[in-house]
Amino acid sequence: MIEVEALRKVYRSPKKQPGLAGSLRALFHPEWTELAAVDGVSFTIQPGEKVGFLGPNGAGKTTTLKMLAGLLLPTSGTIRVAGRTPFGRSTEHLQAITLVMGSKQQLRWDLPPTETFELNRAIFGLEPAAFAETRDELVALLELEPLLNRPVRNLSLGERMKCELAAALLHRPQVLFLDEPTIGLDVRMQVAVRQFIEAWNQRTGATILLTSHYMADIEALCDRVIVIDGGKLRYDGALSALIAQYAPDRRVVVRTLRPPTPAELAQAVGFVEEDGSLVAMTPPEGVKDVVGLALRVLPVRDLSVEETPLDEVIRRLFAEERPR
Amino acid sequence: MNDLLRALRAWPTLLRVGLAEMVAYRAELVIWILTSTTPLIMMVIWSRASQDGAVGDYDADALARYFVATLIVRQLTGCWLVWEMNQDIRTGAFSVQLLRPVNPLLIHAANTLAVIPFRVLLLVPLVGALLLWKPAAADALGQVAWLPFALSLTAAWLINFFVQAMMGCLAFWWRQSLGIFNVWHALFLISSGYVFPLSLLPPGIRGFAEASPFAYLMSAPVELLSGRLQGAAAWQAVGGGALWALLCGVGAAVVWRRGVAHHEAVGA
Repeated sequence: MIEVEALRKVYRSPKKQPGLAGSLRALFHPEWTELAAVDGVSFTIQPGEKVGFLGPNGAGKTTTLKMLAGLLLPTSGTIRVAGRTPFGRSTEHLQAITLVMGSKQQLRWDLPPTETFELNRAIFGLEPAAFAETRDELVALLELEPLLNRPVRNLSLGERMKCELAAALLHRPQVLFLDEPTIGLDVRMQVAVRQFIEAWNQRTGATILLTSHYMADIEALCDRVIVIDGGKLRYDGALSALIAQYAPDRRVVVRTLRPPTPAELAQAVGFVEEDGSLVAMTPPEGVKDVVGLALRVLPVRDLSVEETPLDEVIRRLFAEERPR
Repeated sequence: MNDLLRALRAWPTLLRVGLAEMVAYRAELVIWILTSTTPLIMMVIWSRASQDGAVGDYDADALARYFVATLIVRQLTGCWLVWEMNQDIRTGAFSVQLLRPVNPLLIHAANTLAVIPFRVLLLVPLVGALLLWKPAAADALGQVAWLPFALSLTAAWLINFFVQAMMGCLAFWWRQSLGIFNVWHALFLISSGYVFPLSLLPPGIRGFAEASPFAYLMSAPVELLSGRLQGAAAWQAVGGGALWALLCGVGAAVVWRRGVAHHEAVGA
């Protein structure tokens, strides 16, 4: 569905020394610097896949998404999305994709969302019956009914994002590029948006490429992640393999009935205090022994075994912090 | 061709939503429209100036006719595309528009046209009041060449829209592109017949002004509506307007294509 080969995007920007002299020099003898925002990235995404696209700020995620959508011309490399080259934004390409940017909106600010829906129906040339069916489906899934006739300016951020998603999906695109769709939303609304994306993928088989700074989005939706940093591909594979590679340890967290005595603490080798709990890190094969030790020597009230949070996994990946 | 057909089919919805949006912005819209009432001020000034006799080839009644016509033409050809494009391009909102299978300029055109009924609603009482004050302003209505006027008005709308599209596209390259439009607007004020009839200009400058697009933005339709152009002269005004509309249309298409290509190269 998406094929990217040796994709590269170089931005050229003027270089200017500080001060008046620098400004004058830049005026008469401009110098340019080149920055490769995306540098030789290749990947393939199969129809129906949900892929997380991760990287720190400035890694090249949005630039890549814009090239996939057809908004930016690659400096070199090839892209095929649903069998077409995005650049030039043919009608067929635009009918096949959608790009939702959490920080930009297409909804008409002073009109109810229904007006933007109608506008998109006309612009995309949707048949009335098909449009009504999709709109009703989206309204039901996103629980939009109470919002439909209120001006967009009176909706909360989360309500607006739900309406944005509906507006962006009315033409039933095969490929969804979602750039930070949950940014700024509260936890409840993040969950609602995630559940909707999952449900839409199940219903339509749409291919989804998702960027998010909220790792909970990635964990909930994506089996596969592509990680880029400094414009280069750093990882492409299963999320579970990424965790296994960069953070295989488990966290054994123990909450006790009473504060442990110094003697108990001395026996609980490997446990350290953290936010009122006792925590030990161990490889998966050591979990049984560590749990056994805790139950034997500590006044255990509650015990849990957790994977390393994905945020930490990504932090380690970017910091090149390999497991010992 | 399919794209054009889709755009044409979408046109009624674009107009309807555009009108709904304009009504939602009604307070702001009234203020914007009122900023285009310079002809009323000019009418008062020139009616004082003509108290002691004709000014050039305009007597007091002719000046009244001229500025009522100027008010009407300005309202019906008004457009704020350049400001909208400038903002959309600089904030990145333009990217959203590029991902729709209809040229964003067509959507902006629909938005601009959608305001016209609202402008007419404001114009009717205003022009009515002016005609009560200066009844002679209506004297020449029987001499108006209505078809050439309608065509000349259309050409003026197109010239204004295309020029603003060109200037708006400059935001693809320069953050301060509105400054260039301000220069254009200053030239418009003195060369279009907006603040005084072009026949009052010194001969050399008048020749330049009458050949420029500014004359076809204002003077040509105004002189048609005030009954001063008849027969061959009326059709000459239509031809000049059509030529400038065509040239500006080609210019807008070229700048649009290059601007979007630049946008594709550097992003926003």
